[in-house]
Formats: sequence, C-alpha cells, structure tokens
Amino acid sequence: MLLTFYSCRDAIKRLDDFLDRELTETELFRVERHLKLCHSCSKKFKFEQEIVQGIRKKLAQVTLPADLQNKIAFLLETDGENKDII
Amino acid sequence: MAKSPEGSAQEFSALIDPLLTKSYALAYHLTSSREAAEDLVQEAALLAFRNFSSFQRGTNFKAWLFRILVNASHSQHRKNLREPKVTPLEDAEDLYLYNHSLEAGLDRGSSNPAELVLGSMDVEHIIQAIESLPDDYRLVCALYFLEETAYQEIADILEIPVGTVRSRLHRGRKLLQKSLWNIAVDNNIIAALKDESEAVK
Repeated sequence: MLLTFYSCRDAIKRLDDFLDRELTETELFRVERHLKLCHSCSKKFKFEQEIVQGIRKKLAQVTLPADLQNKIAFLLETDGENKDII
Repeated sequence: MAKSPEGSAQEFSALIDPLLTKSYALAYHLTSSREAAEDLVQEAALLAFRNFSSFQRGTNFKAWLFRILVNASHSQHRKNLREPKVTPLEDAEDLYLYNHSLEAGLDRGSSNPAELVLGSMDVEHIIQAIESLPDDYRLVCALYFLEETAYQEIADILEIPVGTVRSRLHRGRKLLQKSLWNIAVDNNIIAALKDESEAVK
C-alpha cells in the first residue's frame, strides 16, 4: 500500500490538507515523496503555503483600538447598573 | 468590575483580555468596519460576561467566546436589517493566484510572486477580499486566516461538522484567491508589478 505513487493530480487534490496538517500519515508520506520528485508541484505547494502565511501576516497588522480594552472593562464594571447599555 | 452571577470577574478578565485583539480582528472580518467591529466586540464581551456561569471550566474559552461573537454578529446583522452581501463569485479554479501570477509573468527575476502580490496589497484589500465571500465561506475563512486554527476548532466555534469546515475552506480559499487577484487588478497592483517585472527582464 505504501508503494502507491501519487500523480500530480493526487498531490494537488491534497494540497490544502497538507498545508493544514490534516493528512493521514500515509497520505502525508505519499505527498512528501511526490514533492521530492516533482519540481513543478513543489513550486505550487510552496506558493500556496506562502499565500496562506502572507494573508495571516497581513491580518496580524490589525491592532486593537487603543481604548477598546478600557471601554470593555468599564462596560463590565457598570453591567448591572446599566443593563440597557447595549 | 461587577460580579458575574457565578463566575469571577477577575477570572473572566484574565481569560478575555489576551483574546481581545483576535476578537477585534475577527469582528472586523465579520462587519468590515472598524466602528462596527468595536461595537461587536463590546457586545460579545458583555454577553460572554453575563453568561460566564455557563462556560465549562477546562474547555476552550476562545472557541466559546468566538462562538458568542459570531452569533452576536448574526443578530447585529438582523438588527441592522442590512441586505446580505451578494457576491456572484462563480467557482474559481485550483491554484488561481499561482496560475494568474505566472500568466502575468510575475515569476521572472528572483522575487517570489506570492510575496510580490501580497506585499503590494494593504490589509484593507485582504479584508475586502474576505468580505466578498459568500457568508458561509467568509466565516470559515475569517477564522482560518486569523491564526493557525485546526479544522476541529473552527467546527466547534461554528457548530458545524468538520467535513463542512473542510469543504467550505477548500472552496473558500479558491474564491478568496480569485477575489484577491481581482482586487489587485482593480487597484492597478498587477499592472504595476508587470511593469516592474518587465523592467527587470
């Protein structure tokens, strides 16, 4: 069973699960073996990984507004006094 | 801080404070507006505080809080009677950005085309792309791109099966790539990158 070789199509079909570490051990082994031999798929996998990481990196730039934490603390402190605040 | 009926306010703060930035980022994806995101985080925090007694200690507080935030966004959505966004994004092919970057010649030179395209886009472009996804895909993608999150955790937050997370994420990622590409084209980012790439040649 472990000798089954993945085609490019088989590998690409598993690209997302590979990047998200959701493959079974056998699938992972087969994908990794394919990537070692296939430069074209290896390039595509690398590109997709960089897209995911790049999007996460960009979104990490969203920062908490300076006073939001204080607003929430105040809201919770006054909860009970002002049930209709929201 | 007032005492939550059965929970401790200090315990609540200790749990929620480190999650406020991620909560705000998630709220921003869900509302597409900084002001609405602030309102949503405040509403979710208050709801979570009032219901803290129902939180089971030892379980995933982040998943519990995000579930409240997502549900609050649904009710805020209803309250505002906002028209649902209709984004007629037909199915996108696999490797959309990869194929289009290559077609545009962005793989020339030493630069990495993924970095080139994303590096030229603002965070608002990325949020705009996530916002353009149909609701079901938008939610899953917003949680997925917020940080490295296992499919199971996304399933727990949205209270849907893992298989549904997987299929929505797979299609959502493709649609997102298409949307990102279109935004980059509309903002002349691709044209500028093509010019730069030609100049390097």
